[in-house]
Amino acid sequence: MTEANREQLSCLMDGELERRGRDFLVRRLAGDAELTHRWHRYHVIKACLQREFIGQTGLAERVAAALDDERPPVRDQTGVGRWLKPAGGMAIAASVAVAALVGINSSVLEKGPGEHPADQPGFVSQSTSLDRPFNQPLVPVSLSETSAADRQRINTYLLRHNQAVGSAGFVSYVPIVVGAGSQPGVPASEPDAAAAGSRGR
Amino acid sequence: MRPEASGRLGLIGLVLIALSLGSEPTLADEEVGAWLDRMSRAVDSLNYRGTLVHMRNGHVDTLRIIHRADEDGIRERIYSLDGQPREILREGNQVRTLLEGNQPLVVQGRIGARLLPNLPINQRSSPILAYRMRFDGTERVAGMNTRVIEIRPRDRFRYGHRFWLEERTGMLLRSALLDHSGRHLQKLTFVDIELGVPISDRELAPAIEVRDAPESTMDEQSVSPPAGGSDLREATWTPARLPDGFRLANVGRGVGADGRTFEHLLFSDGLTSFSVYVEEAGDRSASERIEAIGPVHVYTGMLEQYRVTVVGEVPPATVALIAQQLQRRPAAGQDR
Repeated sequence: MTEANREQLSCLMDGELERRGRDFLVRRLAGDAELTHRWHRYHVIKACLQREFIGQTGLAERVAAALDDERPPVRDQTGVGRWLKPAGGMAIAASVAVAALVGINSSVLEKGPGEHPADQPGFVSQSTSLDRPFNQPLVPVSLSETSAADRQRINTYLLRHNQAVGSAGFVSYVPIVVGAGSQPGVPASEPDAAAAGSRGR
Repeated sequence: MRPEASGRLGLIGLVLIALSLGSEPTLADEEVGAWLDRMSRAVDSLNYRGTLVHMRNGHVDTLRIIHRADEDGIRERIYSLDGQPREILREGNQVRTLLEGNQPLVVQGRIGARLLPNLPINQRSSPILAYRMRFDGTERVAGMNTRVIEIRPRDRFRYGHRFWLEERTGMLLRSALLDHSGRHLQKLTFVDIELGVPISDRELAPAIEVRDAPESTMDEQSVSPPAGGSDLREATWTPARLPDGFRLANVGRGVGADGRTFEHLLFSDGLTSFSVYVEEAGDRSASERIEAIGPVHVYTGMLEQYRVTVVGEVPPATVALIAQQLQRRPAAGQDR
């Protein structure tokens, strides 16, 4: 499936496709299993994000399961990882380099939680399968879906986070201004604003 | 060893050597780091006023930004030109968000000091491990020549960036957020900007007045020293595992609008940061959910009798992972 197909599907969900394009895509949906599957996934994601999904989401369990599926790392027993310094790297025989990379993977990139100093949590080395479901184009939820108290809490936490980080300047604050644009109670007669609200920019 | 096997091994070896070189700082990395530091300084220390266009998912928002830095500190005003009026006012360490509409809201944040150590970017926690950074030519933006920098993440737990930096000052004129495959998720660009201009107090005054709005103020309970950072061992909570490169940068505590104390853990990989907030839920339970505010994702859920909130400009999988991995830290005396 191409990026254009995904974009069209996303537009169809948001009601942004003009009539001919909509009719064409609906015809394609009837005969394209992959497209239909993706269409269902988009709706499930949207329903989950808007807390309308009545099935079992079990987000934490799925994250845990995805992590459990990850192959445990091979521990560095040889200490050869240190050979992979840039200056000497080019002179290393290929077979040594293979072993050295295993060393880097295990000793630098991957450590069990129990092996870290008290103030440094452990690391995972690679992306896990848990992020795959989130690689689909995201249909963000509007803050209007949450209660006023939740909005306050989220906004204050976001503000504090931006203040704590400090240096990013206006770039950090733009999401608050833009994201706050979709407030509840936007009249349906204002199509642009209503569409923005459903996306929850 | 058979010749073909030997050749294959040699090829693999060359690839691996190239990969290993990629994990060490190169001259290009250092140059990019220097430009990012220039950007950070320019965004804070220059006076400017301009019009920003924000594009995401086919939607366009127009914003106005006015920024002044002088002996009295930094004052900044960002306000929307489209849709419902909303503004952000920054004055030193205080930030005020004014949201007008059917549910008006005023949010104030007061934090004694930034919690992320104010170090040059290349002295932080090795962003090179998590990103590939390179120059990508020059382009003209808002009538000015810019140097383009591309930063691509090595995994899917963080976003990448493209920055267009004005050549003389390093000022950020355009910024794009990239996913793991390099696709643009969002773009922010000045369509006009005046640099180094005098800014009056009148320009920095809010244009909207929010009446009868619930007001939320978050106070700092203990202020961490900005340079030395806080004692990370004070953290009560910690994720058992983290994506590569992220480290605990600071621990703070504060009091929310409802008077409850929360613990704030700030994690950073040098470029990307996220925060974890843990507070006693009391009689309030929270359903597990992830919300999006532009590229910022917010996870809310429960852990024992605590409410956990993870906030950051990271993919949703990252906030979910962190929340799932969160656990109570062993008592300080037992793990040292």
